[in-house]
Formats: sequence, structure tokens, C-alpha cells
Amino acid sequence: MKKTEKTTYSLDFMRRLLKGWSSRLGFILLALIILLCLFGPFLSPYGVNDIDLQNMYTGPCMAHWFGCDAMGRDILTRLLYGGRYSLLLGLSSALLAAVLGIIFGVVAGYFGGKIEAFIMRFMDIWSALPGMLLCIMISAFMGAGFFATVIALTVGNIPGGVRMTRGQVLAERKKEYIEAAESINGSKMAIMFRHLLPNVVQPMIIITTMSIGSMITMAASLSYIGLGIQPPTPEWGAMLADGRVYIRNYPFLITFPGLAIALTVLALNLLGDGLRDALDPKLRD
Amino acid sequence: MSEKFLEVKDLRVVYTQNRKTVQAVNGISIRLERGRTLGLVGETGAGKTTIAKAIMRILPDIAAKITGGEIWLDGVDILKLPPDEMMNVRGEKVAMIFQDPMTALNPLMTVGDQILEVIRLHDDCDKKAGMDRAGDMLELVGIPRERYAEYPHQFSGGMKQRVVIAMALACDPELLLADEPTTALDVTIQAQVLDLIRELKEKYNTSMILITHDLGVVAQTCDDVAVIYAGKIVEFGKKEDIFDHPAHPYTIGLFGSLPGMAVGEKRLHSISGLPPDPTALPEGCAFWPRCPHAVEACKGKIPTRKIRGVHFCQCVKEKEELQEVYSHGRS
Amino acid sequence: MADHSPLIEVKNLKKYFKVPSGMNHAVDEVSFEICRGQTLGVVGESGCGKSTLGRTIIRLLEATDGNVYLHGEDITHVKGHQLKQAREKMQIVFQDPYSSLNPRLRIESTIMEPLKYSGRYSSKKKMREEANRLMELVGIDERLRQSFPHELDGGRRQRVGIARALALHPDFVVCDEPVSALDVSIQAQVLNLLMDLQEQMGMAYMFVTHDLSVVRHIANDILVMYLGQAVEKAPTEELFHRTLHPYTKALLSAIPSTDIHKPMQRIRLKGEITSPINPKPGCRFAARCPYAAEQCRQPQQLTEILPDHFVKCCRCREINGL
Repeated sequence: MKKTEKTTYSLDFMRRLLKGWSSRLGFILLALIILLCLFGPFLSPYGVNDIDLQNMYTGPCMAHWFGCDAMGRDILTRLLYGGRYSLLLGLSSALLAAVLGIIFGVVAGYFGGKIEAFIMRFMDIWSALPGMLLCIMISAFMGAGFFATVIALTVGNIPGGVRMTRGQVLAERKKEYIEAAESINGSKMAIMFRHLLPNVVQPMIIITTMSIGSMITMAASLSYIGLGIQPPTPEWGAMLADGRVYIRNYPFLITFPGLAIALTVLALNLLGDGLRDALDPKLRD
Repeated sequence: MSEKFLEVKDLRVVYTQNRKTVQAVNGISIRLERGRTLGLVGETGAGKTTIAKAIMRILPDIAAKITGGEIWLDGVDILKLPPDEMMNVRGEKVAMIFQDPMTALNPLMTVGDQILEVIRLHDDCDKKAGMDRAGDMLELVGIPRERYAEYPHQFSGGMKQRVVIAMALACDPELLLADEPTTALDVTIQAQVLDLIRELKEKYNTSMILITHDLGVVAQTCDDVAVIYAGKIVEFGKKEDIFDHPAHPYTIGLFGSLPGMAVGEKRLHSISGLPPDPTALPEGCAFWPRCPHAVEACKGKIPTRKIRGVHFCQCVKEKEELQEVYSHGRS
Repeated sequence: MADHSPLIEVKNLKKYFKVPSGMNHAVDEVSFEICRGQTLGVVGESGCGKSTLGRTIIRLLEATDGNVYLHGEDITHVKGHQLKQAREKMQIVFQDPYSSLNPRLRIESTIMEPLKYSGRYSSKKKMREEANRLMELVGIDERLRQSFPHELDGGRRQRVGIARALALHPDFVVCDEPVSALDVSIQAQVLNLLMDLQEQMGMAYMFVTHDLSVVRHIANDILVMYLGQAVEKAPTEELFHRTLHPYTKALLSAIPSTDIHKPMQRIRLKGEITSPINPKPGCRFAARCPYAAEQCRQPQQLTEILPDHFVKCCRCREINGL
């Protein structure tokens, strides 16, 4: 039970987060990917949309490490540049969906009764619509572009989060510490967000880190049908979709975007596990 | 009748938890004769359940390790048995009743089938005969045969514990390990279940180890008592020895902590402090940090002193001092 | 101790829950009063409604019918500011020291919670000082204030729960089986603490438990409950020496005695406690009672059989030869 009082909470949190080798690996990997995407394009000798018809379908070589695409654009450059969009898209939509899901879930689970019935029936109807269809509808309605894509991706992911959080709240609400908070005059807000919320977010954190990957691929599908991020702006999903046609002859067209997505998802999942453990005071040494 | 049936010699068990070593059982020796009941008394974390699980050989493989000792059951050292032979020992020779009847039963199987499963695991009887026997077992513990096909959730807590007892007794074990069998039950139901266990034990001349923290249950059920503190038996004796002439300061403290023992006295004589951290046990006697009579010698090697007959005590106090308890008795 | 007007008065309190198969009469027409500095022990088996009773009184549950008076003021249905004030005077110590503390709040924060919600403290520093004082009061080492609940053993956690309940100087505390999850040696420490605090601060306790030896030690009066109803109520020693209700007798005889020389003379009860869903009028204990007779099917009244000794049993005088 030794503890130095000076350790601030955030420092303590980081130390615990990076304790295991897997979460450390995830953290390093993700940091590397983000840094590369931020600064990589500046280091590349090629412009992101520089068309070079002489280098169409050039395989990986010294000049073009990851090869070139159908228009002779350097894949590495486009990958680094596109990563900004893909990561931001995946992160922001997954986070937004998680936040909304948690809020509605906590409210539904804590209040119960009519409020719960209303929220849950609404979510039932909502999730009855196929996710992709919903995405397409919203994108078509709001038009293409980054912001619209974030909304489109977020919307389909809310009901799952609401259900999951509500379930957690129902189990947690019965515990005596919630009654205790009531008996000492804790406000409804305090009970929901100070007492319940920190004890129910764990599974959502894991779900969210994992959903970032599927968000990125979903964004790609949107790009593929002409919604979402518009070409020529590169984006990992879109690059994957573009390269799909040439998979037999030029497999490197999809190998590298695919690898980029896979590595990001892996990094996030590793980090997600570490995050779960670090957030749980029971697992402190 | 007084043949030696179970003998545990210097049993030691450690758990590894987050790279820390928990010394759960530190050299426990037990002898149990056929037909007798031994009560293991102690607080949470004293190692009572670990002893029972070691005898059953159901300690978790990865976390727990038996680092020393022998367990002789009916002339066989069961720690040396290969796993498949141990399977036969379990159920036929030893059976265990767990504390929580709510979690010991499979909620998706009828109670009758759960008893049947135990029977068929050890007996190559056909299904019909097995079901008959399972029905007999239910009646034995006072549940009508007609309820064979009901599910655990249709039973109350006391009924479920009866089913658990029926499962434990299904293969006529010679040794019954009961781990806090009535802690989860109400007093009136506890009384019924204890009566039942006592009757069945007498009927089949079963030996039993009863694990409990309730001294009242021990008083009403056991022949011998072992008081356990931090994985060691600090005092052992016949029930009469322990209840009338407790010698070890911990045992005396336990009796003093009981409310209602001394009517009229306002404050309870609590034992000060907390049970020791099992990852860092104190040197010598584990009880000395809480002991009102602690002296320097307590931090050294603690002798086992014979007080009278089978009554033993692990304490540095002189033999004469310990024997004095007999001249006074418990006030 | 001079003040003999009741601090808390409960009159014909009822709490029914709607369940799929009907109405669960968890608490049915229970009345009692407790004076300042006094302790009422409420005893019964699981499912008899004793915990629900405590929670209904301190307004964690809404009463179905009946009244609760605190300092003579009806607080059964007060709302808003009045409810907040009433709750500050009535607190609860929970049974399970594991689930009654928020696992993600440090000890100090947990104890500061009620101070914060009360709005009486102007600065965080003052709250922290008060929290430290409370920790000292209940005997928690100051170096533990930054610990999380799971780092503490059951006894210490229960002390934290007690500190939280006492933070706003309540007049009335419901102790809902506060020691039944603790080991014997720790149990004695916590019981001593509760008694010391009562002596210092003069609170009234309602001590809910299934353990008769514990209430005998701590309570001035005892109320025995069976399936939502009070079946016997008497001063503690009177109840133990002159037990009148057949259920109380059975309950007392079922406690395994630590006296090995006195063989137990147990009154064997048939069956188990049933559920209080849609109960029939008449004595609810009749189904298990060795003395059950035809007249037990009539509705029963809690009557004063001996001075201060109330029993709900129509055959009481007959059985006890009074």
C-alpha cells in the first residue's frame, strides 16, 4: 500500500496504461502511425495527387517503396496523407457514437419506466434499419464530405452502445453504493455521471476501440459508391476499394492500404485492453 | 471404530498472485478417525477452504501449488495418485459440500439429473437404476421424489442446499468435506440442514470435516476442533477441551468476540488489529502482532505443546501456564 | 437521554411491490417508535421485509401507506428541499461493505460526498478537514485516504460506510446488517465502534439483523418480523427471558448455542419461509406453527400481552399459560 502522494492522477494512469508489454506495443504502434500520417507527407518527394502516367502500376521499388497506383500516384504518399482522414474519421465517429450511446444508455437504465421504454423502442426501430442503408441515406441527404461522413458513420453505431450501457447500468444500479449516494442527497446528475458512468464504461471502451477499424472500412464502402470522402482526396478505405479491381495483377495496390488498416486496428485493440485495465482500480498493483 | 482414516501430514500450499506468493497453508497436520467430525474454525483467509480443496485435489492448477506434505486417505497417499484414479477417489471416498448452493447447481439441468450425473460418473449402472437411486437420494434429504424433474430456480435456498448434500452423498463417500454448508441459510433452515447432516453421518458412519466460522455450529456438530490462524493449526483438541479450556490467545479472543456470550457487559472483547497479510506473514507466531500476551520469544520458533490428552496448542507460553486453564476453566 | 419524546415514529407503515403474480406485501402495517440514543433491533429471516422497512423509513423507497414522523413531523411524502433536509437527518449503513462503496472513488472522496451534496461547506479544504476528522472518528488510518475501496478489508470498508453515514450528523441511522458480512473478531470491533459513536453523538439506531445474539448485545428493544409483519415486540431482556410468540421461540431455539453442555432443545419448524405475495388474512406463520388452530385464520392484532410486550398471536395466552 505504498504510494507517493505526489504522483498526479494522469501520470499514475499513464504508468499503469503502459505497464503491460501489449498495451505498450499498441501505444507505440499507434503513436508511430499518427506521427507518420502527420509529418510523413512533408517528407515525401511526391505530391499526393501527382499523376505520373509513366509509373502506372509500378510495383514496390527504390523510388516508390510501396509502388504506384493506376494513375502513377505514389502509394506511400497517398497512404500517409489518407491516414489523416481515415484515422480522424474512424476515431471521431466511433467516439461520438460511444458518447451518445453511453449518455442515452445511462439515462434509460437509471430512470427506467417511460423514459427507458421510449429510448429503447426508438433504438429498436433505429437498429432495425440496416446500418449501411442508414449510412447511405444520411450521406445522400447531407451530401458528401468529411462532416457528413462522420455523422453517417456515427448514427448506425449508437443503438448498440445504448443497449450495452443500459444493460450494465441495470446490473450496477442495484448495488448499494447507488442507494448510498441517494441517501446522502446525491443529485440525479451526480448519481448518473459520477457514480454510475465510471462503473459502466469499461465494455464500451473495448467495443469502441474495436469499432474504429470497422468505421474505417465502412467509410471506404461509402467512398466506393461515391459518397463519403470524395476523390482525389486519398483515404485508406477508398484506396482499398480502388485497388480491389486489380487484385490479381497488382496485389500491392490493396496490400498496403489493407495492412495500414490492419495495423491501426491491432494497435487500437492492444491499447484498448490496456486502457480497460488501467481504468479499473481493482487491477492496480 | 477408532481406526485412522484420514491423515494429513505437514501440508503446505502456496498461491501465486500477481507475482506475489500467498502462503495459504503452512504445515497443517490432521488426523481423523472413521465416523468422527472435525471442525476447522478460523477467519476468512485463514486457509480453511484451501485445506479441503487440497484433500479433494481441486485446487486451481495454475495459481495454487502444494509445496509439501502428504495426504493419506485410507492408506493411500492421494497426492501421488494419477488424475484418473483421483477421479474415482472423489465422489466414492471423498465428497464436498460447497458454501453457496445457488452457484453449486447448474441452472439448466433438473435437480434429479444433476444427482444422476454424479451417480453415473462413478457407477456403471443403467439410466433407469440411476434415476431410481437419484430419487432415493432426494427422499433421503427430505425432498419428495416427485420434484425430480424440477429446476434449481424452483427450489428455495434451503432446498437447494439439500440437493447439494444429496449430490455429495450420492456415491456413499467415506469422508465428507462441508465448507460452510449453512452460512448462506437462515437460522431455522440452518438448524434443519445441520440436523440432516448429523443424521446422515450417523446412519452411514461417515467421517466429516466441517469448515465454519460459527462457533455455535461447531459446538452442536463436531467431535474435535482445530482452530486455524494464518494457515496453521494454533490449537487442537476435543470439543470439550476447546470450549471449556481454550488455551491459545487467539481462541480465547474468538470466544470473547462473540456477542451474547457475556450478557450485561457492554463492550465486546474484540481482538485488536487485522488478520495478517498472507503474502508477508510475521516471523514466528503469526498472531503475535495482535496478541495481548506477546513477548520477544513469539518472534522465534513456536513449540507445539501438549496440554492434556489430545489437546495441543502452538504457543510459547509454558506448559504449566497452559495447563492452568484446566484448573480455572472458562469463566 | 432525558428526552423521551420519540425521535422517529412509524405508524402502520406498508410497502407493497407489484410482482407478476400479484402484490408482494413486503412490509405490512408495522408501527414502532425510537427515542434519542436508543436502539431498536429488527430481527427476522431473509425475505421478511426487514431491509425494505429500513429503506422505506429513510425514503429510499416510497411507502405504499402509513406514516413516518421525524421529530414529530410527517416526512412520509415530503419532496424537494424538505426531503433533502429529512435525508440529512436519517442515514443508513449497508450490509455489504463490498458493494456499498463506489469502487472508483477513493476513500476520502467517498467520505466527502455527503459534505459536498449538503452545500454546507464553502471550500474543498474545509471538506477535506472534516473528512479527516470523520476518518479519525471511525478509526481509519489517515494514510488510507487516497486508497480505493478494494484495497481495504471488509472491516475498514464498513468503517468508511459508517463515516459516510455520520458525515452530516444524522439523528437516526438504519444499520442494515452492518456486521453480518464480517469475521467474528472484526464484527466485535465494528459493533463496539457503533456503540461508542451512539454514546458520543446520541443517535437512534434501527439495527436490522438476522443474528439474535448481535441484537441482544446492542438493542434496547426488539421487533421480530415474519413475512412483512411485526409478530413480537418487547424490551430486549424481556424478549429473551419471556418469549411469547411461537415463531420467536423457534427462532431463538435454532441459534446454535456455544454452550456444549446444554443439549439443544430445538423446536423443529416444518417447511420454510414462504413468500409474502398475496397473503391470506390471518396469521402468516400458521403454516409452520406447531400450535396452529382454526382461529389462526382470522386476522391477528398486535396486542400488549404483558407491559410493553406486544405479540401478534391469538393463542398467545393459551400457549404460554398466562
